[in-house]
Amino acid sequence: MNNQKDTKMIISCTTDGFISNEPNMDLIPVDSKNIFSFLYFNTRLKLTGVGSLLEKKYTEEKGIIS
Amino acid sequence: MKDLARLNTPMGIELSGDLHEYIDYFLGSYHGGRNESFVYGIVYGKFHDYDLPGAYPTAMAMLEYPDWDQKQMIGEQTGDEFQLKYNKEIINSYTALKIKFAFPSTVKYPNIPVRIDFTSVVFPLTGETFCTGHEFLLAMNLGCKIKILSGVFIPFKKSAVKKDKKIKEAVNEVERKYFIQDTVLKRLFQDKSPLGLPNTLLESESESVLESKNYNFLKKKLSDGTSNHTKEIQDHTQSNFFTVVQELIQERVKYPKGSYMNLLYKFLANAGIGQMARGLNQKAKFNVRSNSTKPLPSGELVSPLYAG
Repeated sequence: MNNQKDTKMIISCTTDGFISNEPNMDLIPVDSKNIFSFLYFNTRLKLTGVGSLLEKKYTEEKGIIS
Repeated sequence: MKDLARLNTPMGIELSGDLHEYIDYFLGSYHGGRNESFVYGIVYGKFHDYDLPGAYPTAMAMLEYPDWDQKQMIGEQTGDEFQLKYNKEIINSYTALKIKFAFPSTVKYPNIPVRIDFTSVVFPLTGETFCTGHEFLLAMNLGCKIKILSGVFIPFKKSAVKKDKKIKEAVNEVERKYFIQDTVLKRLFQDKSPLGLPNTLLESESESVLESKNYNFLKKKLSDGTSNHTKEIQDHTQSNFFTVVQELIQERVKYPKGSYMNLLYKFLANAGIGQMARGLNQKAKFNVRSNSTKPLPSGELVSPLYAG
């Protein structure tokens, strides 16, 4: 997403999450070219037995004040 | 590091060995958590909140003890020269750098933090600052031009596990990961909503998607990337950090989600990384016992290496 041409939008972010208008980012396969996501994914697997990178917490229906 | 303030005294410097020579790099590169809005005012539409599950404990589990005997001071050089020399070793190290940097104007969300006053950290396209080795690597991936002014590199202590066992475990992990990625891919194709994947992946609806060339191409691409990282996998399961986090998670899952004990173990796991950063920035906190605001002292677990 880190490119001006990309139409996906990040509204805000924290160290461990972000808000976006893109609906299914939690379904994107782990980018195995990216060493950070790869290591995170593998460590989660070892710790919990579940490999997941992103988790959708909630959806805001109307709009937000940023 | 029980008393950080005492380190910056004549006696503290003398008694700390050579710690005082490089501790400032790690203190400087610690900027705390990021919390930033990219859009201002009312934004209309549907928006989704995403989290990295267990971000702080997972990051903590990836830590290893520093190999003090192998530490190196980094002199002036370009980012390319530094990356060429240390490459993926930076991932498995405590690295802190003083840098000048410039991202391409096409980068939407630059990742290098710059302190602009006592309370604010911003993430500009260009600037001069202290950063960690991981921040450096991510910036390089985004095409940032970096000039390193100086810095410190301390590799992780190598695990005592036999090499052949490590490789076998690494391969098992890769196979396991690949199986799960494969499952996610199939799910995406079956749903016909391949978010983030090129539209050409669905160019032929009559063709079975799971047997399509595009699917196999992507599968191979993932596989290639996976094998590229195999040699960088460290056996974190030998690390004391990993063991502690794993024990806390194992205890947590014994209790129902949302219960007091479940939340208590979640809090303990998250608090670990907080304790490593406690008091580093000398911020004043309200103390309910004394009913006053005082700077939070550092504690037994504080370390700017781990916190950054």
